[in-house]
Amino acid sequence: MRSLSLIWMCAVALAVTGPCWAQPGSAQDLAIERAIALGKAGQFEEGLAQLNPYLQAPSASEAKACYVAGFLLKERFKKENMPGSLSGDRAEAVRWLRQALDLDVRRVAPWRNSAEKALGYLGGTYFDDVVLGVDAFEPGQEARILELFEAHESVASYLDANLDATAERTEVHKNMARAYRQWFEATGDEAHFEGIVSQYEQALALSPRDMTATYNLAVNIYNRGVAQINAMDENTTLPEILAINESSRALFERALPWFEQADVLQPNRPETLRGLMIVHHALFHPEQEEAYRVQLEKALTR
Amino acid sequence: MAVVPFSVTKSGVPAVQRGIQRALLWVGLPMVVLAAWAFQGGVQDPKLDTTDTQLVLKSLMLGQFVKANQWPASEGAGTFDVAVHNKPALVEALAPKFAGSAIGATPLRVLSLDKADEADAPRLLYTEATGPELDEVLRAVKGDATLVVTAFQPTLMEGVTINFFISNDGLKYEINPEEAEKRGILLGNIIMSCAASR
Repeated sequence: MRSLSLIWMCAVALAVTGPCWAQPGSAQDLAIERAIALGKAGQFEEGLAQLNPYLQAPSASEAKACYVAGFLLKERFKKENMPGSLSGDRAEAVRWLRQALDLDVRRVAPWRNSAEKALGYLGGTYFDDVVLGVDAFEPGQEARILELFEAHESVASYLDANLDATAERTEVHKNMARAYRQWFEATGDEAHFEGIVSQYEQALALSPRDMTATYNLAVNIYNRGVAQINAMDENTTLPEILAINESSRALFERALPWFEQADVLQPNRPETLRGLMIVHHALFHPEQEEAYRVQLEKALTR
Repeated sequence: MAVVPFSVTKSGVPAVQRGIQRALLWVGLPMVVLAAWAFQGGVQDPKLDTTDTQLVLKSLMLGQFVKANQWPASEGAGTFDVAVHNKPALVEALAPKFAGSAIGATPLRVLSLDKADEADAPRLLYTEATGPELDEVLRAVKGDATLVVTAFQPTLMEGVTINFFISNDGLKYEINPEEAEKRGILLGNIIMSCAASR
């Protein structure tokens, strides 16, 4: 509570001391003071109504009103806490805070730092929602999670024009691939398996040299083939065995280039060499299997 | 007008310094959270399944070779013996699935052989031996009602009824029905229809 009141005190101080954005004692200045006071009392709607006349087509002289509007909306978002929302108070808060900062062309407004912090906070909440979305992932939600990530990225890039979010976005895809794997383990649904592959492929489209995505993709595809074979039992007929042999072979062949790519990215990594040895064994390639077995032995004794 | 006092706070840290600390928390904490979360995406997931798929496939196919045939009536044998020559790992894959089941009224037994003559006329004998060692194995069951299965031989040798071979990276088998007939075994229709040729 103490920190909350300090934030409000800062906002009041910043609003009132802004020298050239609204004349002290002007109607706008008074409206801003009233809006802050109403916001402090939790009367956000009323506070925003005070600012409304200055938000219709704001110019530089209304930048502070935009900032306070964004601040009020941010506070209301915090209070009402609607995670996962792409519209509503959070999106509006981001919009007004950005508008305020854009209007502050000379970058000298006393509230600038506070507005940037508020934006940073809101961007962070989008990212928190991405993490929550992945943790409680359900198939089909990937587009929504990516939209939340893009909202986070948009704010982060606004605050730091040099930001490269490729690595972060790659991690989002990798984490969704992991989530899909957990679903696939529970359901055995082929669509969930393809979800794993698709998410890792999207991660690799962004970061082709990502070792874990490459290796994990290889392992997931290979394991799928093994699972098909392990699902057979003494009651599986010969035609069924031969058909499963074909489909598992196709998966082993699909996994092989990813194992090879993992070996290119990080040569002589024992886990990858073991994978290459095993996949060649599964494909009945005795020479290659032996070659990788020798390489693995060397790698392990280094 | 409310003013934030620029003075020493309760904790003894000046407000400016406290502000810096808070700013570092704002920046640092999400980064720690991101790093922890991203690390999950960086882990090996899942573990590589190291099941020997060749063994599983061979064991299942051998089991079906046993189940899908018409076998001559046994002469007083108490068990239906499936012998595996020099391949204990295959015995371990085969036995849990098929040992204890019955062919007709005869219980099936899976035997692991170091030498081919260790078993007395098994009903099915599997070997991956080559050259003189294979000749020795075939001599040991010559004239017996034994279905001999080999693996990866360039051609079907005399005395061999079924041979595994690799085609398009997959396991296939070829058959010699005449050899089966010579030994008094009638190959099942499914075995015949699923056989491949090179």
